[in-house]
Amino acid sequence: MLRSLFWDNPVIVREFRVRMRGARAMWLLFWYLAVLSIALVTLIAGWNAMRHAASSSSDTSTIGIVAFEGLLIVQAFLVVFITPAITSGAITIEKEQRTLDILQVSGISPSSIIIGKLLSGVCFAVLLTFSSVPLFALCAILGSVDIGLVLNYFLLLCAWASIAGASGLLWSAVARNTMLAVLGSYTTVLLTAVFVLLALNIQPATPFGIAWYTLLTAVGLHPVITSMFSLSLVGTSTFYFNTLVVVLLLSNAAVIRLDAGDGKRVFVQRLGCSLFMVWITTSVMMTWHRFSSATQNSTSVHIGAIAQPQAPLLVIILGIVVFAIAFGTSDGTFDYEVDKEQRCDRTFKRLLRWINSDQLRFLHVVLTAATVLTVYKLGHYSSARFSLPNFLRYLVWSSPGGAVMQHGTGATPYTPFVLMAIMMFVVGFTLFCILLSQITRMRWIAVVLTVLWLLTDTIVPLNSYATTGPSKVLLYLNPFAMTFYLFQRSIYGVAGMLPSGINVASTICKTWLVVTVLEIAAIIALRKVSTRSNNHGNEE
Amino acid sequence: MATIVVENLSRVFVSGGAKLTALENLNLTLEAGDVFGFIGPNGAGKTTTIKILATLLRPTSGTAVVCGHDVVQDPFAVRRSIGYMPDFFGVYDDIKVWEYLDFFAAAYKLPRNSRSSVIAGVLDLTDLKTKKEAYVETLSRGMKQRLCLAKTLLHDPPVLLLDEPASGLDPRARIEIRELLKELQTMGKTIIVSSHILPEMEEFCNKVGIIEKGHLIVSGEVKEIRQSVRGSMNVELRVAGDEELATAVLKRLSGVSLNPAESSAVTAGLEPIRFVYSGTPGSEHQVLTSLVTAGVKVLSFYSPATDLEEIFMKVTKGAVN
Ligand SMILES: Nc1ncnc2c1ncn2[C@@H]1O[C@H](COP(=O)(O)OP(=O)(O)O)[C@@H](O)[C@H]1O
Ligand SMILES: [Mg+2]
Repeated sequence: MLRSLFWDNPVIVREFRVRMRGARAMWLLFWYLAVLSIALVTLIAGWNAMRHAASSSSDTSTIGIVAFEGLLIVQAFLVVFITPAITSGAITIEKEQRTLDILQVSGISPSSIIIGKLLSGVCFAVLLTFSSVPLFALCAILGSVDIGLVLNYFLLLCAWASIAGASGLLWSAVARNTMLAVLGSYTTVLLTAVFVLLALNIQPATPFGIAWYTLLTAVGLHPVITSMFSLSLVGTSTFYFNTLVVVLLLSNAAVIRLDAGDGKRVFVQRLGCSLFMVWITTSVMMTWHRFSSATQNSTSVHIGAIAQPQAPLLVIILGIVVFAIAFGTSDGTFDYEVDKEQRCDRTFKRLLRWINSDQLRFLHVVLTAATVLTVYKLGHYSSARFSLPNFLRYLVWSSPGGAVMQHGTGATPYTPFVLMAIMMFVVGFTLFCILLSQITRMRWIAVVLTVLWLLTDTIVPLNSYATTGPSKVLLYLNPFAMTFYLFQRSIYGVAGMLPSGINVASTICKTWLVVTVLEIAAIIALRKVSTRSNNHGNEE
Repeated sequence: MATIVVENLSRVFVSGGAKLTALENLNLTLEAGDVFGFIGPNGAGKTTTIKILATLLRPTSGTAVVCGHDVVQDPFAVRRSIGYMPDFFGVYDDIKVWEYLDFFAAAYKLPRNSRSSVIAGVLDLTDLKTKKEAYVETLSRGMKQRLCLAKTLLHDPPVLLLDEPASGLDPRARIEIRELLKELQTMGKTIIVSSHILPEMEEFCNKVGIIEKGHLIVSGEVKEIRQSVRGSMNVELRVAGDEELATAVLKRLSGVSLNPAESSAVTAGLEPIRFVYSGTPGSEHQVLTSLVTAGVKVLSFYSPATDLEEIFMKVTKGAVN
């Protein structure tokens, strides 16, 4: 798998074979070095002139660092503009010279194509960078430039080249022709630059700053991207990690675009799903990180985390949008020719296909991991430590009337976990709908039943604030209702004691269990349906 | 076993609000070893069909199954079992013929150590051995076409989808492609060849389908189609001198319609009288009997064999080329 992606990737092999053939690459190299040399000479000359003008006897060792930084800026500029120029033509040129069709039917995976194109583009940028090593060596000779610093800056250049290259590649996969792709890539690079400059001048602690970062979070979908705009992080391991996330996100979008072929709606749907999943995954990770650091040292909370209080709302909005896209739009491709009577069947089939999709599988894995993490993390706050028996106990205790596991502290910051529970709620809701529609064979009845079930189970305890009597039993019985209940508490910041028997960890465990059972049931239903329809086909 | 099963395949293009049905309810079943000539004027929907089979376009409705794999559900399995040659294609710059083939061999995940022998094999088959080290963009159009065919054969696919493989070629190159296709046919591959020109198909197709404006008008074995289209049949009649009598007799007979030119004016000399017989097939002799009993001196009574071209003209109502 990895071997065919990297080592034996035909796209990489071809690009490497061809890239340096002909005069073009040599001219590019020549001009690149020419611009850098001119910049270096100008810098040194300027520095000399300034020193003479000031006529002070400042020590000459600073010239090295001045030249180095000047050169770095020029080089960063060049790299950030050359890499997207290479990658933004990667797919569109194949379309234009009519080689893309042949390439795609050759069974090569879209990921291989994208990785090949990205690596060859970035490698060329790296080659350019390394060709300028002699100039940097000159700076080092001029003084006070540490070799570690040089290496770090080269790494930084590679990171920038990867991001610029990946965004160019995404544009290339999406745009109709090369000109639009190039235009799009450069606009992106420029806008990003403007964003960084703006972000530098905004105080994160002011209301405006919070609004700004919330917007960034919403636009960028995640604190990871928001934190890319924090210069204080540049060069740290967090920065490189985030770079990787962003590059993967962009490339993944390009892969999906290639894979969807001419199905534009399919692209939008799958992109939505994948972004949502990445968002959830990284959210959980960030929350994890935030908790670990918050417990030790509350000042080290990241800028991106400032937007965290708004996160549940964002999840819901995003969740609604994604699910609306996934289910609301009817994609012509997957529509079977059916009569009106069979319409509920059609929707059902579509949902079943979704159940059988890799996205749901992935989501489920993420949810399971998150559940384990949650129990582990919450175990920290309570007296119980994480262990398999404890985990099992949570599962058991979350049964109606089960024993109570009280928290050690009342101030458990459970908002992020509720977020996850909501996620599971959405999945569970859909699965429940599907199962019901399978039983009743009528989609609308299924939806109405589900909604009724939710209303009675959720709204009643929510409105009465009652944690006693029948509504409490309802709360125990229905993990989804519990999720809603917890969510409401987190939104309105209702403090104080949780009703006995309700506990975040147990709720999450229970929800997870229900979702899993529903999913398995739905998959079994799917098998049944597909065999049934196959039999139909044989009879006819 | 059916290698290609297409059921109710439709494709609608939506561009700028306008809907264009490029393909409507196409049904087709091909067995292993079939060579299917896919014939139709430009814009009839041949490329659309072939692209759907090659998993490059999604159908709007209907299903297509290639070697047991659905083109929408399992495109990668389909891609492994087909060789596709588009109607228009380009080649990469700055790349040599063997590198080009090596590139695709790697894409098809052929084992490294067998690649060079496979490449040598397909170069041999397509007669490009001498061009192994040449740059691809220096090849002539016919050679590029053969190179593309060579690359579709690298992974030895059971199904070949060839979209107008001979278009834009000079007669010689066209014959070379035709010979190559005959050779592939003997290898037992299922081949779909599209074309808007007929004569090049007749020699090696055992099945044909004629498509027009997205509808597959006729499809099936060449022999059967010939038979069914023959329902109405052209007849050429030569008589000695008394054309007027002959036309008069013919006019009286049911199931015979004279060409307008013949019915109005008397044809001169030995020009045959042409008429269309649309009665029961096999009872044309009754017309001859009537003519002879009426005293017409019949020299010859002849029905030219219906060729593909004629079938095509009949079913597409003259909308060719
Ligand atoms: N991408 C497209 N967008 C809109 N219309 C298209 C597209 N591709 C093909 N068509 C239309 O579909 C019809 C069938 O085209 P095609 O399959 O290429 O015909 P053929 O290959 O038989 O000449 C034509 O009318 C053409 O204009
Ligand atoms: Mg065509």
